[in-house]
Amino acid sequence: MPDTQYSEIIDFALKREKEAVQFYTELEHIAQFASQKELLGEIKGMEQGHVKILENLKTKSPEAIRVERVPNFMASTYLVEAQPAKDMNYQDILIIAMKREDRSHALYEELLQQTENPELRKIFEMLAGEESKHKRFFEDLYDKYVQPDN
Amino acid sequence: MTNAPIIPLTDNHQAGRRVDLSSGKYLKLWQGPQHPGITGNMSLELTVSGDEIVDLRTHVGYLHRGFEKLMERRTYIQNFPIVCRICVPEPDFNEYLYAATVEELAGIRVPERANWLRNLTLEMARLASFLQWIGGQTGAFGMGVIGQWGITHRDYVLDLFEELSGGRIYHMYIIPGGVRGELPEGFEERARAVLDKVENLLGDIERAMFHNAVFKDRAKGLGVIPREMIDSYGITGPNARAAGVARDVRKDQPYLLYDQLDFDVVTASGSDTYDRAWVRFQEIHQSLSLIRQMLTRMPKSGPIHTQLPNPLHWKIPAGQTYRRAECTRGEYGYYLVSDGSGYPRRVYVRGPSYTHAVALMESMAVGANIADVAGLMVSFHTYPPEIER
Amino acid sequence: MSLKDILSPLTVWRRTAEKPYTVIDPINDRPGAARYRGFHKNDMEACIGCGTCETICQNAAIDLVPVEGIETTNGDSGLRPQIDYGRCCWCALCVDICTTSSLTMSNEYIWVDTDPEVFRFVPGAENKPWDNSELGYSRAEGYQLLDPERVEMPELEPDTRLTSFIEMVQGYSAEQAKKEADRCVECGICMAACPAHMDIPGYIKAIRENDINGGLALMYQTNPFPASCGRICTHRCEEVCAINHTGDPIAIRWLKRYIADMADESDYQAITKTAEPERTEKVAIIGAGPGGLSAAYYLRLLGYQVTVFEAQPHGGGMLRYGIPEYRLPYDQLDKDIDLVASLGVEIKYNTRINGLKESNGPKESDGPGSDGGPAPSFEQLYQDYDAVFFSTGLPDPYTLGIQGEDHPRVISGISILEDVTAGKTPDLRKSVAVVGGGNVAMDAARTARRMGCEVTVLYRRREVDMPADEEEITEAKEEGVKFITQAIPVRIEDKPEAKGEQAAFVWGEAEMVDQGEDRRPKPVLQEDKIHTDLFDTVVPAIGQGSSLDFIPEDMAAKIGIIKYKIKVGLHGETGEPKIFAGGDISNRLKDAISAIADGHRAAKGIDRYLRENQSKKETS
Repeated sequence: MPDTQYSEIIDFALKREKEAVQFYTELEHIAQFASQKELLGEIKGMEQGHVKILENLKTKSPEAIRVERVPNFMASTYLVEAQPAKDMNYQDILIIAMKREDRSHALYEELLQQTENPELRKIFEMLAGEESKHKRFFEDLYDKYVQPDN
Repeated sequence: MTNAPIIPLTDNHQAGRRVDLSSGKYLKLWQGPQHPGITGNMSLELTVSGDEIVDLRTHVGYLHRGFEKLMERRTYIQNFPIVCRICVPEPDFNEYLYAATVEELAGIRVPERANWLRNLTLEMARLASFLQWIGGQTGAFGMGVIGQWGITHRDYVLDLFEELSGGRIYHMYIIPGGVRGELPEGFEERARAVLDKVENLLGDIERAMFHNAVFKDRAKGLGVIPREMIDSYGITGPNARAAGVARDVRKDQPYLLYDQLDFDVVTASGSDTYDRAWVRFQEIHQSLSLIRQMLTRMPKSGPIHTQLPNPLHWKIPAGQTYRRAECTRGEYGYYLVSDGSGYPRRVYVRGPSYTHAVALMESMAVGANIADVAGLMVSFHTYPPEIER
Repeated sequence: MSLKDILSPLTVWRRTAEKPYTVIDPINDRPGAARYRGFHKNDMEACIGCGTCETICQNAAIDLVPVEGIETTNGDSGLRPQIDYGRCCWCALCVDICTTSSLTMSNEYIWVDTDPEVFRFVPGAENKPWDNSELGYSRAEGYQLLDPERVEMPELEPDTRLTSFIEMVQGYSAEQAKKEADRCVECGICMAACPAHMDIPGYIKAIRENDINGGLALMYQTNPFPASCGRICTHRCEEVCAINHTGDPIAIRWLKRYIADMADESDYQAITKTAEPERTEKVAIIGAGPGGLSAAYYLRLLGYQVTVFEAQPHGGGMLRYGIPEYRLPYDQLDKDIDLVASLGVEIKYNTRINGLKESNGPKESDGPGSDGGPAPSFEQLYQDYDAVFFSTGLPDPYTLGIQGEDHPRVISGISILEDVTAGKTPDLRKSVAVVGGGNVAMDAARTARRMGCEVTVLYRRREVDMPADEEEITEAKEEGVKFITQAIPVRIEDKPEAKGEQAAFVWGEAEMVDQGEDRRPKPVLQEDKIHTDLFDTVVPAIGQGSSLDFIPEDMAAKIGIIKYKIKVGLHGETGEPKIFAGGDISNRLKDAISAIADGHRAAKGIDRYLRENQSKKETS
């Protein structure tokens, strides 16, 4: 029953994205300063966008899925996970975001390894690609704004 | 006709005024300004009795472009493309003298090789100009074919100028600081080939022009300038040398590398149209020799230009200078006055043509034949563009 | 008459058998010589529309005109020379002086058309048969009208530099400055590139004309920090300088410095006379860096009552605390600041604005007000003043973000520089690793060298990618700083035997991965090429962030903050009409001159806002 499986997986991904929205909402509450809240709000908005995309995918057939993969530059691999705190700065928030996307990416990669079903593989590939794209976006911000001199 | 009376300038004019046109003995005749020859940029007002000239007035102004004035409103570098236009057949003397005056006031030293290249172009200009003059002189006496040879061979020299400077007529090659380019690859061989060609032609010209009964008959005794007029009229160049005055700026006040080159001042004694032509003819030979000497002796490499101050805001210390050079027609000079600004306060160009074409011509024409007026005029070798700066 | 004279001319009859000399088909058989000065060609890509050809043309045959497809960019006027062949005399001075060597001539000299309009054309923009002609006139080797070589700036030898913090650049003499000023072609391309749009050709001309006073006044029209900028400006102007295309750019920065150095008391007094009648409106400025003081200067000139609040004990911001003394001596910075203060600008030092209403007690750094009373809050300023401008910069260093960074031997680059400025000696010891390739990294490295350390700079990318000024990199090398490029920080370890006294810096070699055109390649860690080096001190200098904690949340929402940056309009206006901002917290370039420009623009914006306010009051 590939159809069922397909929508199940999308639901699973949707749940994760919704969790992310929830996560950033909580962070917003923890945050103390307007600048932090603004940035968290922006990231939350992006996650909400991802939720929409996944919801749209539910109505589409798996054939319509486009797989886009982004190479992993490991820009955040060796960074230390930052803890949510009221005095998080730009760097901290970006590290949190990168790490989150990195973990999601790793999860879908693992799921991808565990299945032989070509259709499912395609979906996982797509989801892994999406997460790495998101991570890449934050990495670029990190490069540009946090370590412009390195 | 042969021994025209010498009438001092003032008397001549008064004589002209004494002419009673209503008597019916005289006729006014205009030659020019539409005359197609090199003399045609000015006009001659002839009063004739029969075909004999009793009075001549010169009229200039048909070619006035106001270069000297234009230069006062242009920067020193902007004047560089203007000066060559002051004398169309010999732009290089203008370029050299303008550069030399500017360099002197600005205290700029020109590299040695640039001086050789400047000297080379000045002699090439002399060669080209004389070849053109042959055209005028023979044409005026009805021997146009010889003139065509001269003009053709001048074009070969212009070919050399074209490959050296990028222009045939207005070379704009000698610029303050030096020259604008090296000799192109293979230039020396091509230059020597042109010199050989010209030399070959000169033999024919000698036979067809100087040993020609018609030319001799018309030119000998025409326009004899008495020795005592030479200084009082300020006559220079071949016009003076044909009268036996060994006057040549290249020897008298050597500039560039003339003191290192081997040549003698050419003179003659007859002081008539024939002798003036003969002096020029010998100077063509001399020019060939000078160019060959320079091609052999000039250093094969070296800087061609000294870095100038930025020409856009170039100011030259206040001062004045007069520099002169021997052009084909005599002493050519530039007088430059700087008030210390970026623009010349005054540029005065001293060309030989004013003296030769106006004062001298008015004196010498009286008593001549109408048919000889053009030939006489060309025998003074004048270029109206340089009269009317 | 001899018989010979009759026969002799006949001997040349053989010439009648010669072929004609005339070229029968000159159009095809007689091309112009290899360096013929024929019709113009212009390489549209190389041309920057500097207009020097137009300036030198004595015929006024050249006009610079807009051309379809050519955009105005930084370093390109967007215009191209149009030549009127009704006026041109083919002297080629335009070619000789062309700053980019884009303008040349073909050897083509025949162009026939019945329409006279076509002979006024833009070479290179309109296709012509001679566009690809290889022959034709171009400037000859060994001959040039413009001097491509910059007058060398006298500098201290590297060995001497290392012994103290004495300024290494010694400044031009009058003769040197005039010679350098002479090289300028006055095209003005630099003015567009300068964030403050200084009248660079104008003050360079003043140097040529020995008019120091005039030059200083001209500089102050757009920049009240000439002595400082004359030393440390990022000189974006020089990068786009027309002369830079075929030679060394004009030393614009050093010429600016020359004027500031030469200007005496009376020159400075002449500038202050330009102040307008007093106005009653009060403006508060937060931060006495270049942005804040620039705004203060121009507002004061307009007659406003200006108070500047500064957390540090001295003014100048990063100019003082981020730039070492050997690049910008404090007395020079003070000269600029003192002039602003002398106009009647009140500067309250040691006064950090405290903005949190319900903060958990004052932060340690929150000092008292300079009058001994408590420092005002942002809201108080908002209430008490007619307008507020803040330019608080990027004071907070970002960390490497890697494991072990809390090691006691890790000290940020900016804190080293701050310490030295404050007269403290940073505890650097012997071997120092500086991580980063920006100016802060270079300054930290060179400061460490002056304190006797052995310094290694580690940078993630290649040397060409380093954001530091080229000369800072060169000078750092001269001073014996070692460089390791393509080195990605992995973690910092404490070796058991070092016991916190030395840090083991673990880094990996980077492979540069191409990102396509217009994007710099990305460094990617090669996990099999990891190195560990022991250092006494590791100095991260990778970037800095803003600190906007003093802005209350409700106010911040109105002002508009995006990604830790203040969103401002053309005149520094924020979402809140009374509040203006500028400098590193809002602009892209993040340098002193941009902050100065922001301050100037904000002063104009504040002036307009206050005048509009006044007229509203008067009409209501």
